[in-house]
Amino acid sequence: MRTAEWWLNAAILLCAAATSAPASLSVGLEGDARAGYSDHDGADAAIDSIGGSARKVFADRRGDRVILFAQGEWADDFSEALLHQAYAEWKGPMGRWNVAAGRVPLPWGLRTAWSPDRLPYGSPYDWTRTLESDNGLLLRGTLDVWDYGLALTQGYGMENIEEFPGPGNLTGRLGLTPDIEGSFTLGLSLATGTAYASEHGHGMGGAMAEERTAIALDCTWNAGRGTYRFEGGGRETAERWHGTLFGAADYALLPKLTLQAAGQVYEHGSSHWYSRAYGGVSIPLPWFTLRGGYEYEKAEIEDHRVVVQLYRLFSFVR
Amino acid sequence: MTRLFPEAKDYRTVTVPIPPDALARIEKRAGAALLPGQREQYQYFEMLDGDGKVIGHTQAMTQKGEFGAIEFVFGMDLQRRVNGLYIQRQRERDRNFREEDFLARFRGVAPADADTLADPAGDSGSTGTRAVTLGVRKALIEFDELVLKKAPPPTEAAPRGG
Repeated sequence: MRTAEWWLNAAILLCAAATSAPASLSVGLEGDARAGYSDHDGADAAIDSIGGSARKVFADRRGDRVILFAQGEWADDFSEALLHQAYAEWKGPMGRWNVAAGRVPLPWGLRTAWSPDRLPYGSPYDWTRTLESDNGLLLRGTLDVWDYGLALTQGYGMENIEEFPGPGNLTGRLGLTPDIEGSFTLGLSLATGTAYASEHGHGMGGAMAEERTAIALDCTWNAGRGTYRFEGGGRETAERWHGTLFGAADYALLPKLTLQAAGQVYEHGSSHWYSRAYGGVSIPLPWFTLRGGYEYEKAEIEDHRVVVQLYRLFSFVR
Repeated sequence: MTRLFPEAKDYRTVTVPIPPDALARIEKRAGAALLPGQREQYQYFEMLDGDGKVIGHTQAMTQKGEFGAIEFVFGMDLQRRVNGLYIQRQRERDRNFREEDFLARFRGVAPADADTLADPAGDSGSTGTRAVTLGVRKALIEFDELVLKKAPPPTEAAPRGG
């Protein structure tokens, strides 16, 4: 992808040029290998992703001030280079307000604090084609128990930029975290404008422009050994609203065994519903996290799939 | 952070490398190895007033619990004494280590007390209470070894971490 390449190069050069300045650098590297079998597609094995992120914080006399962040990956057996995020952010006092420019994350639903990308079940954002990130400006911050985000972006997502400024997309979320442990969070997201996205949610080709208005309510509940996530909402395209519903649960049954479940339904076309359900386990091994399970999918046809994933995240501070 | 230092106007991230000899001293004093990912660099935050003057420090620690990581944050005032501690993320079965009665018992603890810091829950302690205690002990010893022992004489300007 041309877009990914020049953005990635620019981000790397920016970080490299800044390395001599006093700053704090956090780096994360991750690998994701998967093998599976489905009724529809047969057996399959792939390096799903090799990627990483870098976050560099520059401070002035009054505190942390500028943050550079980049996150990219090679996906699907290195067939795609994807730049998820690459931005510079000006941090306001105590993070009450922050302004970022570049390829910024969009403040939407569960994505604000969680990602389904490295989980072995289908992302709820694939079929809804909700953009993960886009090129533009992002204002976000935290005020007491409230957190907010508002992004004005081009609308191309991770696809190639065709013209400037582009069709335009406005995305916003208001979140509430009542207690300091963050055991419960609630968020309301709104988006309007044009979004270019493929059914895979990012630059896998076949992107289409869609004028849409979307709304979603999300909540995350950390209760003891369990974490439960929910996101539901609707999306209006061509003067018709489509409903979406997603839920996921993680429960630590034993110290080394977490049960995972997820399910989603998505309305497409006229009275057509796409649905998915997953049940599996996550087991931490000395060098990897092993995840695996069974997923049922119902769209135009039914599919049954089993998947095994090896995942590893390295992170360090420099 | 605002709960620990309501008067703070901002904070600054400070990252300090951990040389091998310092690592050995820290682990010996703590009586336990630092976790992977915590052995090369030590990070803390300087809490600042409106003029950029340091009014205290905060540290975010992660320790192993029975069912995964326990993440917690604590603050130290200018006398280097713990002024508050709260649990940020955990998924333990035991709830005692989240109780204010337990957390409050760390208030007033200083780096000089770290070597002998024992689980305030004593014999009734759990994996959670022991993890928090060990995390506080490690963090205070790291602060002592990597910040206080490196600090210039009081008449000079305090070092600014990068």
